Amino acid sequence: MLTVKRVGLMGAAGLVLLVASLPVRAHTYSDQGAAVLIWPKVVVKDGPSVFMDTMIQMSSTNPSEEVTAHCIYVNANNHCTNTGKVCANSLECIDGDSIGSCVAGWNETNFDVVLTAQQPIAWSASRGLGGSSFDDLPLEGGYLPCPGIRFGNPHPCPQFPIPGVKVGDQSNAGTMVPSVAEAPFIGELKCIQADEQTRRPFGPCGDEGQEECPADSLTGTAYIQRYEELDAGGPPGALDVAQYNAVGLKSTGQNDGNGVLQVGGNPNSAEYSPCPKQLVFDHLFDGSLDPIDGQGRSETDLTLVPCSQDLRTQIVTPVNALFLIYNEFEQRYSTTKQVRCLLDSPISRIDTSQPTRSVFHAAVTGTIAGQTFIDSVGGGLVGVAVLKYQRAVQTAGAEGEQEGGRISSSPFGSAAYSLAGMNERVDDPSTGAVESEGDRIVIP
Amino acid sequence: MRVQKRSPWLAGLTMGLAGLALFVGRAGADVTIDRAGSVVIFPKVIADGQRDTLITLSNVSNMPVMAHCAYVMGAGFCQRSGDLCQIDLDCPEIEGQPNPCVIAWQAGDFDIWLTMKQPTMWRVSTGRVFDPTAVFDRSKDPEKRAKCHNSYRQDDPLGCPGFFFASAEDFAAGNGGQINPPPFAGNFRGELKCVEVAPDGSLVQGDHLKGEATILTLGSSQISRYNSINVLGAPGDGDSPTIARLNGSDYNACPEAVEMTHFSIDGNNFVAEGIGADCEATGCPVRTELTFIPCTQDLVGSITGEPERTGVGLEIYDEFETRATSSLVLECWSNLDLSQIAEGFGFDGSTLKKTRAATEQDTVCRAGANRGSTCTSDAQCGAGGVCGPRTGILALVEQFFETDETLAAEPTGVAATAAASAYMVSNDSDADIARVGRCRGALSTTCTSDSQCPAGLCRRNSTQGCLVDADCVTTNAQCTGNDDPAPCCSGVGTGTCPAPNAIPENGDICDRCMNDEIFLAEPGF
Repeated sequence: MLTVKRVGLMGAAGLVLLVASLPVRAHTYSDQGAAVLIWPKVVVKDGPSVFMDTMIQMSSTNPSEEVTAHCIYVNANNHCTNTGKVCANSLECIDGDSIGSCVAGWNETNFDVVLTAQQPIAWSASRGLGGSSFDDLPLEGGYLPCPGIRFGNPHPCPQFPIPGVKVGDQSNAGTMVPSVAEAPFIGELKCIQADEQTRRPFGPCGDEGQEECPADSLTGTAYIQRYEELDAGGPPGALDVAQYNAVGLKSTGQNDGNGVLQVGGNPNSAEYSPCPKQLVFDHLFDGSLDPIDGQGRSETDLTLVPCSQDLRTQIVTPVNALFLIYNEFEQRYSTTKQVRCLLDSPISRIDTSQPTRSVFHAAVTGTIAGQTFIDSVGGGLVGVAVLKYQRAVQTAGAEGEQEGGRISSSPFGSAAYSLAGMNERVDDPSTGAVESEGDRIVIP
Repeated sequence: MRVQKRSPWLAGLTMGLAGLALFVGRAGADVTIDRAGSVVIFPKVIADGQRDTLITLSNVSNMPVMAHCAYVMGAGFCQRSGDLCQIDLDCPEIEGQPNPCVIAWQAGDFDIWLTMKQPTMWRVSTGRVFDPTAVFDRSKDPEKRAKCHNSYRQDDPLGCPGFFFASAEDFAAGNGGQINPPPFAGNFRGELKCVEVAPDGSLVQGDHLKGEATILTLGSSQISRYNSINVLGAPGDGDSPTIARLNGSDYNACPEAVEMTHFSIDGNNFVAEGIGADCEATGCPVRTELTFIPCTQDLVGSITGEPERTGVGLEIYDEFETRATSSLVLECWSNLDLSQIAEGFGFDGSTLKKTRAATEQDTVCRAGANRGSTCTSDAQCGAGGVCGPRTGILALVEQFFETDETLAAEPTGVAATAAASAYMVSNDSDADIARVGRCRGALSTTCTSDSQCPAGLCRRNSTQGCLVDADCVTTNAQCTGNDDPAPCCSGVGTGTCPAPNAIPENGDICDRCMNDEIFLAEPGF
């Protein structure tokens, strides 16, 4: 006779078999609506010759209701211990007799964005978004397109009725996007679909007897824009734009509505789709000749941010990234790097300060194309890559010179693209794992 | 009072199953840029003398992977002037005579082998550059080549691992690696598809391929780079060697709709002036191109057949939540500037537009005399008719960022370019993104896998019932008695096909859950 205990054991065995057979497809999404969006690379630079800004674009896919996003800029700048200035290395921290160290910093700024139904919106990181204006093109001025009829806005949203929404019924009221904390700035942006009142994810929802969690309604893109003033006598400055889709985490359909976002891990408690266990991206090895027209050299920048972040205590838990690099000869190289808060680096400077000696450099690997797998230990990672080309141009000589001019580097072109993921950071009960494979985002 | 004891084991089992369902049940359509797949799609490939494209393709697995690839020419030529075009508006009249745009639509296929974890790349305009430097071409040194054989895999027909640098002898022997330029090279605008196959040419749902395309404006450093759209395999029992069925049984289905956010016509890049770009005269406008491709393609019939043609509905929102609609005709491949679509995108005081594109959820004749017409039954499609779902679509957006310098009478630079993948979205009230199919012979019944449909019908022998492809073997009687014989027949009214229970090349298939499908030419391994 089957006892309750035996039935329970059989049920557990069945669960193990079910786990082994179910195709777990959950992962990060750069091409679907999500409940959490991560822009891993937000850059602002204010000269002296290179100027950069990032346009953040976010849209709602909700057909009829407003959507609130609780957003967080994470500032990953390093600062001098003596002057507090932004720095790249300690040599920049020598101020007269005062010698400081360049130490990593990590702090956050949070704000809310309220989107009307189906609305696209955008702002520049250096300026932000807020307030109202009677200008015809409010976004261009950094103003809200739909501040609300009560402000006498000439652009009631929607202007004409759409199914389920009255004219002027929705607005961006509650939105105030600050500029990033400082310039230059390197960091990331996270936006979480949230309850407008609590500024936390909706919840509790999804459990029996409770309302359903809202559908994933956020999509987003970043445009990293660069303008370089060139040397006198050289070609004129030129604009360059690199665009990437934000990395998305979908809701699992259950959420307790607190400020701790469970990303992957235990399926019973996960609130968002898991980060991948392994990232994969194709790239050209740094220093390789442009294989299209052979006129420039290529370089790739890689930006990685950890999936787990405690933004409340602002304690950074480093993640170790293990890089496995394959060239076109199927030869393999490897290196490791610790990711604290944010890693933004040309790939040939990940393992060395001398790029031509790097396992990411064409001079070492001997081929142009490469494929790199990134395993993470101590947490998951998401990221974005930027391919850059730079051509050398012969500038005109001075008047009267028979052979004049010089070779200078023209402003480069760049293009951003997403990293693919393999396997998910999900607990597998069959292995008897004690510690969760998942990640956790704690919001302030 | 009776107290009901709860079993903690059963309660835990229930919760576990519910938890797993949360991961599986809410997963979106697995047509994605975020994972490797079995079908890799590059929607926008340009090699027209003004721009060129670098394709990178890689194998993420620890085993060798083979792929069958096909370029699809999607642009056309003005009938009288011969200029490249996409729509008739691109072809001005000549001497008062109409000069229509005739879509070229031609496919050029090739096969590629990738060793474990191998990346590779090639330039579209010239194909694979197999000997860029003598240092790496070991084939020129017989001693070095012998060492390469001995030190890696002696019996590997590819010779050195990484056949990018294979010798001319290897190419002549057909040992993979040779990638010819696409049709109309120098005037090519279209797409590229690669499908994972086994050594015998049969389709493999291994999910081992991923890639990127980099489009360069020649003479500049301006590049756009986008991730390939990858279709993941499904655990189905599809056994056709030449038809990839995106129906949830063989491969995952295309999305119900695609969505892109971009600048409006004449929308200004409000960031550019703030970082020093010259925008005083022009405002730094942004030009946008939208690229659409059908999910369904008949690459076998691309020599003598017709391109996939469908209407695409557009729903457009701006930042003021103002809604507009528009439409366009997608014939094989469509790459249109917003100004060419115009309706719905006109400058109306908005900076941004969010465009959702989708095809109708109706059924059209997939085969038969009335191919392309709407239908509700096979009989409406004429002789040999098959009524099935309309094709889905995939999309890409590329934007061109102008400044005063690039728009000057004598430009001193080229526009910055940036491409991004479209978002895959649901187009109805449920959260499921994947397109549903229709059961053959019961078109009112939607499906996401063959198991949800009753017995199907063979595609070619459209009155024969079937459950799997093997049930649809073409017989000799069909060769002799059929005005439109299967390709395995040697001619109309004559010829034979392979023995029963064999799957003939390019032969018949069993339609149950019909959705998008890609007909491929037979690989050349």
